[in-house]
Amino acid sequence: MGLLTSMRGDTGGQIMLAVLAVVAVVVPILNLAVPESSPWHLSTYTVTLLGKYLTYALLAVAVDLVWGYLGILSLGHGAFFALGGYAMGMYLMRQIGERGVYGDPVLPDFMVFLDWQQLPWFWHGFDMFWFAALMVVLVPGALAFVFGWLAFRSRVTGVYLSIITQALTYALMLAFFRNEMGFGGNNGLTDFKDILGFDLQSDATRIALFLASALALALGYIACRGIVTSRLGRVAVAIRDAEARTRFIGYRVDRVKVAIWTFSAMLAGIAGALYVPQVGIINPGEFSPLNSIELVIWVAIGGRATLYGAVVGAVVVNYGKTYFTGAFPEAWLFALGGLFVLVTLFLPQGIAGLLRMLRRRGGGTDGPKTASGEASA
Amino acid sequence: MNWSADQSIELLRRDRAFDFSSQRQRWLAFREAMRRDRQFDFMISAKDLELDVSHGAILYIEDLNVSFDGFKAIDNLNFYVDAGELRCVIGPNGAGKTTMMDIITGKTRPDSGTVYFGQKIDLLRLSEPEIAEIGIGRKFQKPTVFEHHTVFENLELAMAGDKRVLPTLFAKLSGAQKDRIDEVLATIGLAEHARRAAGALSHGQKQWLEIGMLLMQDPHLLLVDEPVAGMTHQEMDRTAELLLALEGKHSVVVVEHDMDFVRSIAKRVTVLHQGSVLAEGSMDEVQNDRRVVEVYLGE
Amino acid sequence: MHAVPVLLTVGAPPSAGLLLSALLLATWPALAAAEEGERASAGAAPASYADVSSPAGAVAELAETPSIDGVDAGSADIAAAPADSDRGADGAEALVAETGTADSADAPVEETGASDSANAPVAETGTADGGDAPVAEASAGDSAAALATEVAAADSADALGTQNSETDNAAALAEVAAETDADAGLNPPGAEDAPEQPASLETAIAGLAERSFKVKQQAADDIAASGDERAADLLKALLNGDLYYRKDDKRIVFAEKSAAGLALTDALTGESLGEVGSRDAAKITVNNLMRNSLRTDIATLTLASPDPNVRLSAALEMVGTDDADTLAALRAQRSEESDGRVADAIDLAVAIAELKSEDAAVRLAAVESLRGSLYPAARNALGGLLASETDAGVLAAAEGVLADIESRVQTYKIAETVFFGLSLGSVLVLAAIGLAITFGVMGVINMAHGELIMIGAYTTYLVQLAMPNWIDYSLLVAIPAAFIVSGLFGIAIERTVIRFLYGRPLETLLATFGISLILQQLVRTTISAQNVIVENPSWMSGSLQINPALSLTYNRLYIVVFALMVFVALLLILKRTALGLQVRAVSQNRAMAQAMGVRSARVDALTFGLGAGIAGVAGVALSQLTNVGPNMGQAYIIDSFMVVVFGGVGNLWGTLVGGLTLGIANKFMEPWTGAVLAKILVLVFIILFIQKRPRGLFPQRGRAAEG
Repeated sequence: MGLLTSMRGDTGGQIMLAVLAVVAVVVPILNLAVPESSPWHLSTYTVTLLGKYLTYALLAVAVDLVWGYLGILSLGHGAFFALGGYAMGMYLMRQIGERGVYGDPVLPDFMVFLDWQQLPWFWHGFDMFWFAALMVVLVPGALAFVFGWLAFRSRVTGVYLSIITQALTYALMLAFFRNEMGFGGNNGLTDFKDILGFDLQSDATRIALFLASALALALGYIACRGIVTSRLGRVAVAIRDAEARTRFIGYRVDRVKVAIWTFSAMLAGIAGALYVPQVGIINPGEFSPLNSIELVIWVAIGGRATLYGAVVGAVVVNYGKTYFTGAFPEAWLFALGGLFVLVTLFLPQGIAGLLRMLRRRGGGTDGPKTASGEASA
Repeated sequence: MNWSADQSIELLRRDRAFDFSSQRQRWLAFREAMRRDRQFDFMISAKDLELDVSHGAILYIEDLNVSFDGFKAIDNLNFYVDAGELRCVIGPNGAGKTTMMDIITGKTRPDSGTVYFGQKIDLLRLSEPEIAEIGIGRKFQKPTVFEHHTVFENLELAMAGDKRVLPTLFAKLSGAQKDRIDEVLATIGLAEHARRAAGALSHGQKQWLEIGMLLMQDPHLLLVDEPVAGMTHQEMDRTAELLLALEGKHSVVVVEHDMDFVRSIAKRVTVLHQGSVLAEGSMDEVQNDRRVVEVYLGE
Repeated sequence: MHAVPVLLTVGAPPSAGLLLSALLLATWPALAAAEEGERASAGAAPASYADVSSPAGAVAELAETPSIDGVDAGSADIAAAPADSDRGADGAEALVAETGTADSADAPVEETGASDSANAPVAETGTADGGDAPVAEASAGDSAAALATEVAAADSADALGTQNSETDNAAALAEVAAETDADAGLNPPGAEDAPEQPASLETAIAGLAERSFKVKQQAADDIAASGDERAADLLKALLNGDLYYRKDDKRIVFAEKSAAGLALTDALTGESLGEVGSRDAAKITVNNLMRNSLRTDIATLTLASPDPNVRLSAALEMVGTDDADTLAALRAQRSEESDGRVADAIDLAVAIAELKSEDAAVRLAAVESLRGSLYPAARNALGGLLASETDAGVLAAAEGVLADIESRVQTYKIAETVFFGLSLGSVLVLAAIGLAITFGVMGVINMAHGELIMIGAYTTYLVQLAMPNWIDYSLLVAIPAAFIVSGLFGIAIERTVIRFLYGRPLETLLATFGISLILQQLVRTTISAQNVIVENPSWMSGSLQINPALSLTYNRLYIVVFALMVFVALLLILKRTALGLQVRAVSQNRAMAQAMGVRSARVDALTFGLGAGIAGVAGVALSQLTNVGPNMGQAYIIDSFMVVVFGGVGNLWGTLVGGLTLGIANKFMEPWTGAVLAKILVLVFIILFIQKRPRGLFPQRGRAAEG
């Protein structure tokens, strides 16, 4: 399974990766090399915003992998994203050290505030980056594995599965709101100072984080593409379309699901870990069911089962959100709600499907091997 | 030594696994019983057992009972299929034909009774994929092919082989495998449609594709549920040819309503009624059976 | 300034005694802990973290200062409730103070999660069924703490301010005291001195304008002894701090706050004296000792009231007294008492007093007469007796009786938890049952269900706006109105969106989620982004007092009854009407139903409308229990799905049993885990349960259900 060969035939993906590469080159130049006085200068704020979109895009790719190709509509992927974010947040929190308001060398501020005497056991090790980085994938992965193992083995599917994934993230949200959990309660983790010794506020660090997000998105995309073009990917689509049939021809459906599901959760965790240092905060609100549903609509708008559609959807919707909440804050929920309705009714293939249709109308030939991509229902 | 051998043989007799006619077989039986991995039957996975059809039969269903909410779908059913045989099962609606298939393939669990594949493999202890793995393939009443995959991919997915997660992820199609797929494509007459999406096939073509997928699994036993429902006459003839070609190499159980079709392929026919066997024999025998006539005319 | 305001915040009826016991019941564990004998429990509370603890610490300090100064024994009971009654403090007062301190001391330790204001979203979800126990407790604790602070502050002010003048007037006061004492002794209530009585009341009342507490005490005693029918009101006003004296002529007046300052009314004649500036009249202050005796006096006066409820609260006020006169009055009243509850209360008061008798036999009899009494005071008194009793026989009896009482209280506690659980479960059932129809019967995942509930709640609000003078009847209008409004919204949603998505449940989920966002924003834009206030009709407040250990609040009671009514109505609609038949037919086999001439499009619309309408009705009920705001629907949608999935899709009975089970489970876990953790555990339980039984408690079986 040569990773890059998996990109063959994926025109949309190739374009997307090319654009990503250009952006990854241009953005740092515009931000660092072009002087601030120039109209071409890109503010660090914008860079951070773009970086945030990229982490969302990676999250959307993770969701598309399980929803588009495996048929699991997860309404709880935000939980894996948030867990990855918390793992990174804990590392950043430990990095603050004595620079906190209370100046405690070990305990984060909120623990001092809560009058805790020592670090809870699960905070140990997070002062080391490698450990935190490991946890960023392991914690969401482990949760997804246990949850998936339970759910898929007992053949919880379709709507039931969606609802219990929602319950999962809801339960986690309630849990993380509690101060006793030791994750900063309502306020979450914030006030970060630096990462790997680099000042989080500096332009260079911001650019580095942006580039890391772009790289993670590219690699994540190629890995997902590798999966969906492998025989395992075809099995996944087979499961999506006719689960019982797949079982009858001898595939362990539950194991395939658990494997892809867990991988997807890990990707979401990585996305969350890249998101936190850029936005500077992680709090239990990230677990809210609304977030998880919202990211499903990014995928739906971009186009299910195309992967690159998820990237497009995430960026477009979030840009829209940034724009609307700035220009017409009242209208944002109307717009988002309307998008949900209109896309499901009139654009079941999303933007990617629309593009394909336009290309066909424009006299182009059938996109090569799009069959497995054109998923409906 | 003798007593333990006898004891083992007694154990094995229950499994109908051995012919005790000769001293040599007695010894073989003992050795078999003493093999460490066979010592505790419950500890080994049944799918590791090899299919043993030395008694000629490949499927044993005995004293089987299932009920749904008080309705007895299967009522004390006894049913045997010989290796290499093409058997047709007919019966009115609700006779328990599909339920029987469901039990054989592990989709439904019976309330009581035994289902053995060969002499040794207890199907009731296996999961659906395990049953598929040991060589029982099933074609559903409603053709279910993977509509978004091409015909070729459908066959590729069905192909016998290592179906665990990681091997599947890194699987590559070998030349021999490609040849095998092409061979089956030719058998089912879909060679020129290999690159088409299965969803775009006609109804009859989907049925053949499904049979082709069964062939790719290279099963010992094929369960075929209503293969010609909704087919044209030409398609029916083609299907009959296909099934007859399988006879001998595979054991095939066909459930079908269409009497003409059954007559065209069947040597032995079993009539199910109200969850148990009403009659069994050649098509002519069955058709002249008074009870069968009653059941069919009585409807 | 004491029991009544505290208790009103808990939301129980204005009968101070009953409410007192309700409060005590609610805080029983804390109380029991305090009773272990740590008098300075408040002072010992760790000054741990967050805002919650600081008031408690402050209270403790404030409360302790005066008692260290040795000003007045009465004030000490705020800091440390004397379980040993040797100070002769009024039992009721002691209990209030105890509750206050115990609660505020406990708040940071036990309830931080729930009461911490930083946890607002959680607190909101935690109180889904309104008036949730922990929150109610917290607010009770808070007000108790506030109260304690005030009392303590007043006392220390008194102590500092009056010390000097007190010594100045000491001689004169002693004289007056001796005189009035004698008078009181000679003129017991009801003595035949009729012509003198008005004079004595008027004479007595003048003493209230003095600064010395001793003089004021005497004056109060005289008023009580006067037998005048105005005496009770005067003393109550004094106790409540509504009694003032005019500074220029020291006339005793009732005062009410008004625009200009204070509106005065002559205390004796009822003549209006007009408004004066707030500096022209001074409040007649009382100290704790006076409060105790005032309460006893008032109780004695009210014990003769013709209203049994007044008598009951009077008798309860007197529980814990060992004043001989009061006891005599109680015994006298007991002999002619016709009301059973009052008689019980009097027995309780007498028995508690007799526990202090010198005679072991009397104590034994008193112990026995307390058997089965559910009043907290009985438990406290017996607990106190266990600590001081020397007679082995009495001790054994007291232990037996106390254990007996404890087990009965425990039983009622369980009954109460079941009731709380049922009411929470009813809320869940109400919220979920509309979903059971749209999800179970039609296979549509309606994520806008919560918003349909919200629309019902807002309909209630609008109905109340339209008929502001008829709040009591507004719900009767709101129920059908909400059904129609939400139902129409439902039909509109079905006709414009959902009908294109049948058979694609995941798509309906996304589309209806979009609709839910639109509806939320619609309410925000057209009405308000803030929560609106929906008033409770008067018949919803108050509670049904079963016995001193168990009272059922009417709003919870009504919600249980209402949920059952809605359930039965829905069951009848589905089983007995043509629409119901068609709905079931379409849900089982759409094509066949169409072939039989059922207009399935119409049935779909009506079914969805029915589910939506029920959601609206649920909204009416929820508007009485919880905040009504644009986000309220979201709080219920996940719970509702959990109930439906847990109970088994397509089965109304499953929804009922599932909802009630989850409600009760939640309430039983709460004492151990707190509200939030209980909810999490329930969610986790359901997640695991679905693994075990993917089709819920009452699955549909057979071939049709598979696939």
